Amino acid sequence: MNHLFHGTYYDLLEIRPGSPQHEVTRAYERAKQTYSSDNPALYTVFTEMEARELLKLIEEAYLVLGNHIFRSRYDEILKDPETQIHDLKFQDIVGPLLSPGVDKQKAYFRPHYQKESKMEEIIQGEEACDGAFLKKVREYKKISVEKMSEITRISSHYIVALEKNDWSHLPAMVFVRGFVVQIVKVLELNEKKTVDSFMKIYKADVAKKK
Amino acid sequence: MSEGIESFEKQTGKVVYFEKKKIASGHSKPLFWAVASGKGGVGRSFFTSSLGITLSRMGYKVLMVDCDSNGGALHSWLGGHQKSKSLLDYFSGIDHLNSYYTSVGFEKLCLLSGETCSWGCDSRGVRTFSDLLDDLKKEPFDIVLFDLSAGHNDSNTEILKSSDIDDVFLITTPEPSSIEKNYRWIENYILKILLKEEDQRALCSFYQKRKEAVIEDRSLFEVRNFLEDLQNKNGYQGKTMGPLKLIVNQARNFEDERLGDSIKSICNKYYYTELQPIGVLQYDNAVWQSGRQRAPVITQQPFNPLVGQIQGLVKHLVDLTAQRAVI
Repeated sequence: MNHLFHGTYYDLLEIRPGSPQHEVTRAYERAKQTYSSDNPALYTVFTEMEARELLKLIEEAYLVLGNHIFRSRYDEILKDPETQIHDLKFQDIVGPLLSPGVDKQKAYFRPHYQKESKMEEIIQGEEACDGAFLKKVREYKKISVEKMSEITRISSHYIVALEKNDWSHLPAMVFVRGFVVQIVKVLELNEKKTVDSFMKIYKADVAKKK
Repeated sequence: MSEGIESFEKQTGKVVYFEKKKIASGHSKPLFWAVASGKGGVGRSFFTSSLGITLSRMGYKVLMVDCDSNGGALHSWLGGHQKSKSLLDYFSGIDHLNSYYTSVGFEKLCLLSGETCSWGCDSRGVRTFSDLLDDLKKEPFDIVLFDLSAGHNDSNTEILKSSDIDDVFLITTPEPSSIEKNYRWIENYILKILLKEEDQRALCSFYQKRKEAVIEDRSLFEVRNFLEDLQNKNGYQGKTMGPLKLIVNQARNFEDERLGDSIKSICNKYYYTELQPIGVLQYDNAVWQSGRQRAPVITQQPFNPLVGQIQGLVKHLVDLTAQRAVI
């Protein structure tokens, strides 16, 4: 049976896109009751088989909207002007996040940006990887400070201080190293080279100030 | 003296029902509300009469028009007998509209009685429902309630097609036959009232093809998608009225109370049509008891929970912010 539904999962559950999670769950429960075969309201409109198919779609919608990561990805896909909702399939949304060997979080938070060969060369060749360099790469990879903070769970205050090489606003050295490792991972840079370079600069600066 | 609210009013001397809100302000004509149902005997006239009485007690000037071409019986729910003047007299007469009204014993509430004799109903005379609507626009009422016939007929179509109708109330009960007939009513409403002529033909031929197709080949949302395309392409008939308002009458349990939400969702998924469930009225023996006495429940049993439900519903309709109510 062809299920082509012209709307989004939000339309299917009859909620607004920005609805909080509890409303999504309530709408899902309501939809499940509505399309259960013993509901007299279905009479002469949807057959039992059609109601079962509808329930499958409703389950699918809730699988996506009921999960924070899947829902964020789905919202991002919807925001893309090139997205054709008609062609969007369940697998397109959750597939990349469920592939074996792929860390769900990593797949969701992977940076989406246009590669520029010139910039890539600069990144590859950079020897002095200080805060300004990390900022440059972050901006190039179109990751906001807020998103970086969301991914790494590092306070945006520390991320900004780190990018400004403002050591006075950073915690002890051991923590700073941890921060840099996290950020470098998200930026998909050479971890060892970048972290070593950053820590070398950091230590030298701190020693100078003493 | 009748029992109930009247006697209570006499005892206390100051009963305030609801504060009248100026719902009709900004309108150059009265609000036109039509009450319809797919099946007869679901409480359409009962609801219309209760709505009329409650609104008039809130201070609105209300006229009820019994448009049931199968022989109107709205007067029976208002404690009266057949009226001497009816809609039929208006259609065949030449007098001013207000000479056909009859009072029903409530202040600010008038009735334009239904056709009291089925014989000769076909020979309407010189006036039509369009003339009636035009005449009503000039009358000094806040709200005019049209109690339509069950199902669809020419009179209903003529009234509903008018862009002057502000809201349509659809009454259902939880019985499958009532639900089924309401779906047929909605289909007719979409086809005859909302769609343009060329779209009506397109929908009919689409549906014919669908009927002939093998069930397994049908798409789950093909009716919805077809109607969505029609609406996006040509738009509906330029109707400005809001969504159909659904009332579930004679609800006996919690399942029945949820029926409105279910029908809303199904209308959205199947007909691509917005339907707004606005209330549930519970089954109550008080209705048939007062019906037998040909007296409104509101006056017969004013403290009945059903009366409270009706008043709550009307209050909600009139103004969401109107909170103050006594009785």
